[in-house]
Amino acid sequence: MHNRWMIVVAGGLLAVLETSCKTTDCGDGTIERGGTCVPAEEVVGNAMCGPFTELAGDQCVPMFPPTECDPGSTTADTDPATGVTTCIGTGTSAGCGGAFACPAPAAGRQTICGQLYDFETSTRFQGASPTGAQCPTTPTADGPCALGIRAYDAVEFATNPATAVPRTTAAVYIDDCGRYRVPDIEPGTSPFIGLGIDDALPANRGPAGVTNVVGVATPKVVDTSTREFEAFIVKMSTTTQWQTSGGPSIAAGYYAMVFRAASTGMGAKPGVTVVNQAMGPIMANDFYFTPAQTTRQTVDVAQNATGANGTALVAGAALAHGGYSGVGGLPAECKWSGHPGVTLAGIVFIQVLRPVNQTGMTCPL
Amino acid sequence: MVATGGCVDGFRGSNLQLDLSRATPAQASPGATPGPTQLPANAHFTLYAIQSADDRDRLFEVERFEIHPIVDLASPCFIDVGEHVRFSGLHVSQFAAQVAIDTGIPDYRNPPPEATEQQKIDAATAAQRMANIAALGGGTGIKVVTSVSEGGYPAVAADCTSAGIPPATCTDEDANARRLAACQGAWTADPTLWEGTDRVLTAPLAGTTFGLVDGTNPINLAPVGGAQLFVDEDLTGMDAFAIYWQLDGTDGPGTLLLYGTPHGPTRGVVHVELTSPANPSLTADLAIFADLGQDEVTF
Repeated sequence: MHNRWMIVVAGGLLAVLETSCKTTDCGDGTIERGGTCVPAEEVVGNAMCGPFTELAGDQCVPMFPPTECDPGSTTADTDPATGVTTCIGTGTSAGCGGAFACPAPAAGRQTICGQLYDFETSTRFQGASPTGAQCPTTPTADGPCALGIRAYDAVEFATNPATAVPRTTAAVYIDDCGRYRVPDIEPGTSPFIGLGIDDALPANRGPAGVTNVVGVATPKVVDTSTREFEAFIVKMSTTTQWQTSGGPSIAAGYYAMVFRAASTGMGAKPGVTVVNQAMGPIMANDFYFTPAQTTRQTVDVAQNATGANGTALVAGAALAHGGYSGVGGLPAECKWSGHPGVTLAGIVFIQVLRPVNQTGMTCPL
Repeated sequence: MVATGGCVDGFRGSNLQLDLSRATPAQASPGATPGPTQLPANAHFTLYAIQSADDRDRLFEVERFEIHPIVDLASPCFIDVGEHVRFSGLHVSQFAAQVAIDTGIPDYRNPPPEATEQQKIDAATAAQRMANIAALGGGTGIKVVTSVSEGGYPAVAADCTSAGIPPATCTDEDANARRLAACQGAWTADPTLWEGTDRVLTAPLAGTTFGLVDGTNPINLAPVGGAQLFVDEDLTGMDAFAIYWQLDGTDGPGTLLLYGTPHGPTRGVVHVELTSPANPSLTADLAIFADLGQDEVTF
């Protein structure tokens, strides 16, 4: 019994000694800083906050989201520039000219939306009499509803397409206007996300069916919707024309570079020569089209710069060679954007290049 | 028993573990116009702890920091420093060019026949270093949480012989030595002035690196991120936390970037998820080990 009392007393004494270390206990409106209670640097009244807002720091912020779209008939689309959310109808009444929603992705994901184009003619790739209706589950024989789109880690795919695994996404949406949406792409480790476009039916994949295998890539920007991103189909008849007019064959593959005249818009830029950012000109491996041709049908091996279609085909491109860009056709304040490129058997990789600021200057285009 | 029961008056502040999402804006190079995802160079971030009452919020300034790309080719003092470097004081933008002159190999893919194996290795390594620097400082490169400085560097000279920091393109030994002296002088005069390097990502040339913004190392594609701060404040019982950015030398908290309220402490650790009221992709996670003098678990 005596020992038990000794333990109780010792424990109590220790508890008193432990608690006695904290000698400062600051009241409301102060904080302990270096052992001293100090007042706040800023005091903000909340009297200014209106209904349905609350004070966050020194600002009144909404307590609820500004817009709730009816999920049964609309899709929420938030403009990244203005923050305005619009509920875009999922019906077909607006046709192909109507707005196409590109909603914000789930956390840590990226959504990519845009329009499919026929690379030969630069026209929108649409079905016959399109209405804006979502493609049926069973692929059609032609038109955009014959296609499938998969997302990849672009570098992983370019390094070894045979082993690259498609990234997880929500359900891909394609309509008969050729508009597409690849939602909630789980990004890979590389800085780029690639989209692979091919026929949906396994029997038609590769050169058969509507298109060869086409790849496009865009920077990985998680938690963001990438809008109006151009995707393409390239028919086998198109690549056959390239080969018969002197270009490489689809068997070896193509890295197609499309030089646009300005930072926005679809205008093509003639007079541009492809350069590799490490090797300089690659005169044995770049091919251009007939100068006056606005479509992409006939390679002219005598040309050493882009013609009216602003397009070059590159053979033998590799990630190990560094980035590809262009020279020519720009004022001194501008240079061409640079991008990694690769040529892989049976695949047409397409890259759109635009003028960007020359170092220390502002490009007016 | 009295000796073992005596208390040690330990550090009464807090430890903060801050994970800023990759959308967090970094600051532009001094003198450059900020891009759409950048803040001005002469700005800083401030973390506030907030006590909320019925009629008012009280903001306590906890810590200031800056966020920079890990390398900045536009900085006049992005130089090679130390006994082990090949060209001490050389601006790093000129490294490959100097190695090319040194080795006689202007293009490492096409070395002259008389080049030695070591010269070929040096030329190829220099080219790879420049590619790495471009990636590290590019749009998808690494962003660093750093110490705060309102100072800067002396003006860059008009040419290689005038007073001031020699321009980056001046590569002779005298220019390199004067650049090295001027930069080291600036760093000594202002120990918080931050300058990064590609050589050791967590050991800057000057200033303090608190950690990295969440992201990916573009060289090896490894995930990076996480910053740590020790602060003097006991952050027990705070109602909210916020991060603002503000121009240097300006009064007031500035522009609210992130705001969040804490979850209840778990084993003494307070967790705060901060989000931007304007941009849902701009987020941060903050773990707070408050009042380290009372910590019996972690430190």
